[in-house]
Amino acid sequence: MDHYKRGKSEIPKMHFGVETVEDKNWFYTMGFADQTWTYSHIDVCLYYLRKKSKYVPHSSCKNEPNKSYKYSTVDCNFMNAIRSLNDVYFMEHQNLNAGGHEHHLIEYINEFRMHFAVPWHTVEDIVIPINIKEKHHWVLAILSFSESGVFLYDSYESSGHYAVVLAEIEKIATIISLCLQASDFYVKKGIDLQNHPRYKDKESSDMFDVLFEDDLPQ
Amino acid sequence: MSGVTQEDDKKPADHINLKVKSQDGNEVFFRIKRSTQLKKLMNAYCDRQSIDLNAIAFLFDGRRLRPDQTPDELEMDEGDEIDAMLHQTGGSLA
Repeated sequence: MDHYKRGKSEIPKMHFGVETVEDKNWFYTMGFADQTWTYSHIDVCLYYLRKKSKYVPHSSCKNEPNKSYKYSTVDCNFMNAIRSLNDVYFMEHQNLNAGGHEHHLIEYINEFRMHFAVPWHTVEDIVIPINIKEKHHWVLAILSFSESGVFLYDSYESSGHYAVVLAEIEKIATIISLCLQASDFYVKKGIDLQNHPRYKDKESSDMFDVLFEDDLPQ
Repeated sequence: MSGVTQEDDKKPADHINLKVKSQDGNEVFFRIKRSTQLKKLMNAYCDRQSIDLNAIAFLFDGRRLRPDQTPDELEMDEGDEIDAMLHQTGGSLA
C-alpha cells in the first residue's frame, strides 16, 4: 500500500545486502502499525540477523554465561523449497529423490544458498519465516537441533487458524528430518541418533516435534 | 582445404546460459548476453509463464535481482540458477 504520493516516494538506492530499496513506502510499512509486510522486509531483517550471528561475538545465554548461543536464519524462499519437496515426497510414494529437488534444501543445510550463511551443524537453532498465504499472515518457526523440535511463534490466535499453520509446520518437520539425514548432518553435528535422548525413539521421517509457544503478544 | 578451424565452433564467451527455477520446481532455460540487462530475461519469463512481472521476485543466491542488473555485474557463471518466487505478504488484520 502506498503512503506517499506517486512520484514523491522515490529515494536514492539503498543496499541492504539481499535487497535494494528505492521507495520510501518500504520504510513506512516497516515503521507504522497495521501495514502489510512483504517477503522483502522479512528477508532484510533475517539477513542482518544472520550476519550478526556469524560475525558479532556471540551473546551468552542468560542462565549459562559461559555458553554462547549460535543460530542462523533462512529466507522466505526456503519454505517454497520445503513445500515443493513435500509435494514430491507424498506424490512419489515417499521417495525424496524422485524429483531431484532435494539438492536445493541440502544447499541451505550446507551453507551454499545464501550470503552470510553457515553450515547448519555449526549452530543450535535455525530461524525460519513462514508465510501463511490463506491467512495473509507471517509466523516464525525456530528449528532446534538439541531439542529436536520446531518451536512456533505466532502472534495471531483464532479459530480455524491453528490447523492451517500446523499443516505448514509439519511439512518442515518431515522434510527437514529426511534432508538432514541425507546430508550427513547428524554425523557432522555429533548427534548419535541411536543413543541421543531426544532422537533415539523416533522415526526417521518424524524426528522433530512441533511445539507452539504460548503467551505471545497478539 | 583446412582453413576451417575448431575455433569457429566455439560458443562466443559473451553469452551465458541461465536457468530460472519456479517454486514448484519447473525450470526454464535462457541464453543471454552477459552485458544485457536482466529485464529482458524477466520479461521473457513472465510472458512465457503468463504471470505479471510485479507478482514475482527473481532471486540469485537469495539476493533480489533488479531489472537493470546484468550477468556481468552480478558475476554470474555459466548455468547459474535464478529462483522465481511469487510475492508473499502478510500482517495487517484487514
